[in-house]
Amino acid sequence: MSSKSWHLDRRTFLRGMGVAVAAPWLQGMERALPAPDGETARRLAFVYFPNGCSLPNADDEKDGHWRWYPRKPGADYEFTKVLESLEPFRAKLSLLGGLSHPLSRELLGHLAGDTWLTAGDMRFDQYKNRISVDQLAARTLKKYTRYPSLVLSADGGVGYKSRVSTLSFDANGRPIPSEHVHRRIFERYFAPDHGATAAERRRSLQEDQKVVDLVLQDGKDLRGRLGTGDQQKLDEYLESLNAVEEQVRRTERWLDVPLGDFDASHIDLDVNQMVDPQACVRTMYDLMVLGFQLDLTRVMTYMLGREDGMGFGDNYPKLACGINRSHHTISHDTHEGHWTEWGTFDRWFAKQFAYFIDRLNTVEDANGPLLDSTMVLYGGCCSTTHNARNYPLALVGGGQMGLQHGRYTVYDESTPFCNLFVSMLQTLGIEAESFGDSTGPLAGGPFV
Amino acid sequence: MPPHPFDSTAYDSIEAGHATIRLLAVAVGGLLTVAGVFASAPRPQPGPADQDPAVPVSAHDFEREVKPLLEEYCFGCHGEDLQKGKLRLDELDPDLVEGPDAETWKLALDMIQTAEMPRGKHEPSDDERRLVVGWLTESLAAAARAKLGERHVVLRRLNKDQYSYSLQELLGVGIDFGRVLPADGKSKMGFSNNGEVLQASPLHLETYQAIARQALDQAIAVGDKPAVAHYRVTIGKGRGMGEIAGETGGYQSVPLSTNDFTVDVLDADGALETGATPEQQSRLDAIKRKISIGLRGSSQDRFHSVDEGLILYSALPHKEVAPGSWQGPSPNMKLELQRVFPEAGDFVMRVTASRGYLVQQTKELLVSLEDPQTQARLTLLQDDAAPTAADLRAMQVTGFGPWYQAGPIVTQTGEIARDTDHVGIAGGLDFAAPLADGASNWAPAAAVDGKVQMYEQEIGALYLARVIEAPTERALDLSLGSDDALFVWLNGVEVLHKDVRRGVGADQDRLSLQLVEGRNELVLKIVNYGGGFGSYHRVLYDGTLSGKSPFELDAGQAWTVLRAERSDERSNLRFEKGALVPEDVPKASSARFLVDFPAGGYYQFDLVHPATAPDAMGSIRLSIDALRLDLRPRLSAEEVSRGHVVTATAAGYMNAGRHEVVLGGRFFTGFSHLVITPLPADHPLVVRLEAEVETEEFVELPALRAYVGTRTDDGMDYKAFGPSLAVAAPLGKPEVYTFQGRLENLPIPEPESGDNEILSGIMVLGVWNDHLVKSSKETGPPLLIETVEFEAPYLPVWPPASHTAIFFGSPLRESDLDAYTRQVIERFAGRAFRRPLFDEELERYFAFWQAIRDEYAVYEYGVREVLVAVLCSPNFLYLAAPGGEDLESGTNAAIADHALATRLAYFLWNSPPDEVLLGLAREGRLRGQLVAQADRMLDDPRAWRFVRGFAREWLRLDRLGNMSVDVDRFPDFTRFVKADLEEETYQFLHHALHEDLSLLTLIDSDFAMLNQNLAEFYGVEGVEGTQFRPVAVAPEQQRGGLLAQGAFLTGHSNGAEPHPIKRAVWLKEKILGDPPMPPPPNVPDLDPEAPGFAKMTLKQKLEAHRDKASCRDCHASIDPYGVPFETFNAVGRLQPERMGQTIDASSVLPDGTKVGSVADLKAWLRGEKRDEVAASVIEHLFAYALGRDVHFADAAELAAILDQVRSADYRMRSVIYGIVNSPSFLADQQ
Repeated sequence: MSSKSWHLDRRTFLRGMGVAVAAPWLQGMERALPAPDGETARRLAFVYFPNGCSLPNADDEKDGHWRWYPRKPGADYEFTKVLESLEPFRAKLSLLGGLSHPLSRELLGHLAGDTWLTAGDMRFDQYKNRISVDQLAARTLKKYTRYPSLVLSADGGVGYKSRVSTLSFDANGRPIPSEHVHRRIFERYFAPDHGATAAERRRSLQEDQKVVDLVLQDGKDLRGRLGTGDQQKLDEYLESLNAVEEQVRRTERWLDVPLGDFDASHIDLDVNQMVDPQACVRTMYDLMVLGFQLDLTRVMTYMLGREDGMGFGDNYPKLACGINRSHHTISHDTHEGHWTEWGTFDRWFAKQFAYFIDRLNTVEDANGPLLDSTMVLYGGCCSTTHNARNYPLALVGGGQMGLQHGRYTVYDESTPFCNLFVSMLQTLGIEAESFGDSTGPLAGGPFV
Repeated sequence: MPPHPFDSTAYDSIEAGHATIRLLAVAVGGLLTVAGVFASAPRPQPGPADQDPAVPVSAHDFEREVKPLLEEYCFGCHGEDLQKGKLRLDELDPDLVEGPDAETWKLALDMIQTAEMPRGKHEPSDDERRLVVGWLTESLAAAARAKLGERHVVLRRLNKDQYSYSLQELLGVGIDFGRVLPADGKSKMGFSNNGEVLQASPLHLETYQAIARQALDQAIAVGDKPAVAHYRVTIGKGRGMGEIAGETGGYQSVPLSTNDFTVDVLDADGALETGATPEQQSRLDAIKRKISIGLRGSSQDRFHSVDEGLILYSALPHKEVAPGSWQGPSPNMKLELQRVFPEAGDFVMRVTASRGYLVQQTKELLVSLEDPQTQARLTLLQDDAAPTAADLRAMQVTGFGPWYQAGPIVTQTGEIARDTDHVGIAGGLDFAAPLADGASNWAPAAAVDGKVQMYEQEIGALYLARVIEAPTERALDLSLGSDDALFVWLNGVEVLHKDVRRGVGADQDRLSLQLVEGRNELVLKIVNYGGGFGSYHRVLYDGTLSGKSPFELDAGQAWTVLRAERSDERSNLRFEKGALVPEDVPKASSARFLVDFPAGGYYQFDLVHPATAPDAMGSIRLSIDALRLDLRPRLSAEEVSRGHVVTATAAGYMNAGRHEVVLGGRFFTGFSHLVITPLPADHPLVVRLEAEVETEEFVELPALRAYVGTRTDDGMDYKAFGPSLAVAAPLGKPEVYTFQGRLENLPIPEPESGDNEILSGIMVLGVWNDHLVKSSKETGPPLLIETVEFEAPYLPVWPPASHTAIFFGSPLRESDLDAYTRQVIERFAGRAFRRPLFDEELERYFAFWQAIRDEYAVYEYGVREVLVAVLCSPNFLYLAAPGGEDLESGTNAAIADHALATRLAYFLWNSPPDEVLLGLAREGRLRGQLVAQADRMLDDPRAWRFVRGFAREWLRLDRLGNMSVDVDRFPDFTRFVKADLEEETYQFLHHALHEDLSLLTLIDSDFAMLNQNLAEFYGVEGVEGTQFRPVAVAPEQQRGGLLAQGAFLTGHSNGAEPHPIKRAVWLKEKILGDPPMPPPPNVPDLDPEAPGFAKMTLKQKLEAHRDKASCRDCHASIDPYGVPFETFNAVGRLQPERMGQTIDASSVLPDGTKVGSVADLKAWLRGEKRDEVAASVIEHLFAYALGRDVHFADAAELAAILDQVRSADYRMRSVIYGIVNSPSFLADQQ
């Protein structure tokens, strides 16, 4: 009567895959890697946590060890209890302090969440958002992979403006719905053929293609029969339909390239977050690692929770740490011992993240550990309660791309957060002079 | 930068009165919308300021009043000479509407409001500050209004609910199709049917396509009717003896003994499947083994298996612990089906039930016998008789050989392990030879007697065996345990057959074996079905303890005689002359038996014990479970001289089932036998005791609530479905109560999961007694369940109606398939698009079918591809009114009428138009009948979809759902109370709309919509049953109107205390239609260092906090509305004092009105503010009806509707009539 193990699903799609080969480095993947230009794959992931982080004063003797950040910057910093699970990866990560989006600094921190990867402008109650940095990178990197990106979260969907439940925004600044049901994600991206043969799959894709073509005609026809205001609204639909068509074509192109054998036996797809939030978060990380391993995509975002107590993640402190307060409530709490609660929960988040990093560092592709070819930015957009400055940020991995890690660097507010994005894009080999309100690449820190 | 303090709990701060979020939610890319606009913009009064540019936007004159103040306080740092913070104010355009500088002005306003600015040597007076803030606020509002007018988006995508309803009605398949779609956003007014906010994404379109395929596969039925899973369990004490059924244990779940129910497998017509051949029989048996009944493990005295069935007392709801708890209310019963149910389809559950009765569990008692009438008799043997040779041989010890083990023998399934004889048991044991399977061997096993032994978690069988040499025929008592099934053979004969699924523990089974003289062979087989694997064994009694007994016993009518030497645990006792006697007399002794009483009833307990002299203080303590009785037998001299006596120790009522009987105590007399004898019903003692048991009569009815879910390791994931049905059938005349559902909508297990966990793949199908109670001490009216039946898929006709609705019967199908298909497509697409098709549309779809038809062997599958495309078309997914110059004007008009029918249907039903509406549109008669149609639609059950969808979003009932109430403080705030609080508001609104009451009823009413559960929570008496109904409430009960409903009051608390500001903001925004300004950024947090902070109520903390100029101004127009609600606590109940202080609910409203209570506030709203209240209701309904937020250009229309409503005496339906006849609603929206 042990807890449930991951099991082959009712649907027989996995049965055709033959014997699962254990990671690391799988022969079957060779065809998908390296990239056509002969270079090493370069990957990007963003992981976001809401509601800020525990930041008692560095000189607070009683609670200073519950600071998210170390007490002192430099190369010889000491991890606090919060991030100490990242200690094994010290040489592969950098802590970046003091960064924020200038346009969001005056905003309530929760709102700044909408702009974490976009540097959009939400001041004065407007909503000018734009493409997020992950999607910008995906424009270039998607040519190597089956999917442009994976957009994941704890709650799925888009939430609503100012309290989104996705990190990613399209070229028009519209939020891209995130996915959150592990099994659905697995079936959609990792087992799309449901056990079908390539011929069956091709036929099914062609069916899809024909239907899409027909609907597109229908849509264009309708567009011609609408007023201009409605036409603009319908364009959103038609653009999405084009994207679907593009994906159908893309999938068809990849049809003859096998996904490669993989071992998913450690992944519990039916995890119940009400019972086991740790497993819930880790399964998502497992899927991300597997996605990178199989080179399904090179860009992923994962929003661990929604701002302001909106989503399911708000219950994690209760369910995972036995703290009788929700995450958002903890972020406001002032009662005796509140730093301990907040720090304990941040520490829990960090432990799960360390699991992700450890997996990336263990699983290898042809060029070594995935972590060395993957840049992962972990953080949020408030520091203390709702303060949209000094974002907690840890940049991990990417050693093969030339990043020099090992320091905790603190910037002043003359450096926009977007400078980090510029550096990251350039590191990925994407020609980007600027992003948002950047003033150039990020000086110092891991970028040399 | 600390937060604004009002979001100090899990609460969306901005919506607490800080309207930023709503603004942001509407602003479309690049458009400037400025804060404050909603503070005044949507007012319906045809405000001249809104439309006439000649009228200044502000009461304050910039040049004369404002500019001098800016010059004095601001321009010094932000002017020509100095631009601190790169900000220059003196060049800004004071025309915020036309000019380009509104954004910068807003920044200035924020700075001034936070009192961060100015920072000069001297500060402005409060009046001066107020003047500047007033000018800025009004100007910004006007600017925003101007910008808002530019927006005009009406094309709406179906939201998730509308999509599901549309597909359900189109296909006649009741699946919640939209569940897998990404969640929709919300507009600033809070509605999720808003065209601007409803976006499309590739994920949406991919999902639409996937859903369309799945949905059509469900609707279209090709081939034979699928096999039906049809089972019935019948419950009754003892009726399952010898029958096959399953038994499933697990955490907090008590299995109903297989002795107490039977399982029938039925065919599609409900006839019993009998299994004519052995193969069929074994198939039926296999199914029956997969069907068990479980009961929630807590409060086991609140359900009983009785002769007639299963008694369930009223359920006690589980605590409302966020985000959810896991066991369901207690008690509940569930049918557990392991992998013997279909994955999809409609199903039906039929429960045969009646009113039940109280099972006198509580009468279990133990009394001493005042007039002892001993049941047992003794015949003494000669004391000095020497033991015979047989006696001596009987005293020789039993010889136990070592244990041998074989296995675990791994098999694919537990069933294979169970059904296979690997040993060749009948052939005799040879530990040197391989087992009958030829592959496995015996090996010596560890000596683990008395310990739980665990094995590798394999699926399969394990054998344990030993040889026992008995000098004489004798008894051998064993205690056993196993995970899972256990079978025991003695000398080749099966003596225990326990096919269960359970975790191993000590003493799960007891077995008394009769050994033959000489060699005996004992074989145990443990079968593991999955999960853990273990065994337990211990010898309780091996026949050798019994010494020569000095007497013979005549036990008369005794049901059983417990022999002292066969007690399974004992302390401070030794065996002497056929009896157990204390080793150390003054110390406590004990001897324990586990006794399975066959039936509930009265029993007498006679103890046979050595006679002790009076001065030995011989005593007896008899304990049966928690019952205990002490006595000191008084023996006559004659009895003492006899050596052994019988003492009638006690009598009592015992329930059926296992009891622990312990004898002993200090100065224990010792004993040799305990004789248990049932007492007849006419026994004087029984008659007397029975008379003392009170019987209770119930006036109220029990009720049935059904649920379906998945069994998990530690509980179940479940969801109730169907209505709550009151059970009026009297005891003895049960009736069938039917529940219908759709498997896909319920949390059933992932089928065929392939793992072998014992609890995996189990669907639960259950009920509880829905007459809810507040404590486990209350029984409520008992419910009797006799049978539960499950049938799935439920297909009363074949092919189903969903199929024939698409592929209708027609001779054309045979004669002219092309023409037939054209009709099929035209009918389906026409219904999907909610209008007649254009010719080219039909041609396009038809041509598509012709192009692909040959690729499909089955005709229906080719057509299905066309229909998939129809369901992905924007004509289905969007509410559009396509027109065009190429069309005849009649066509355009017809399409406009169809669009109107559609708009009307999605307004009042949240679902597509029915044939009546479409028919009227076709005939061009709809416009003349809008009011009549609205009435018809509001009387239709589909109006509930409107009421729920609208009320949830208008009144922000989601906040109640998300509220984490402090259940330690409010233990009776259960999940069911929470659900009923929400339901109350829906019921209330529906009632007001259905009965066409005055909309001022929403403010106050002389009734409340309550059911028993909620009435009890509120403290309203005399409401019985689960159904909501209007209940008259007196004014002093303060339960009338939306403002007194827990959905609002609890949703606007912090879970522990009321939150006056949240309540005030809700009132202003939702009821008065006047949302307050958003908060400025950078508001300091509550200051816990403030004197006396810990002892303040939340209201006082907030007051102390905002006691500064920058906060006061805004809050002066908010807080007074929240103060009167202070008498309602965090869960919406009246509470006169809090934290030791009497609550002061008196308040002065911004217009100077003094109110002392919510009643005063309501009177003010119903009186002076009735038009504002009506206007707010109108605005919100208008926005909902049109799928777009209201803006200032709607003012004239809204005012006209208000006029109509006013002249209709504020009737609820007059609002609906006004909206559907408004130009915006009628227009073609082009």
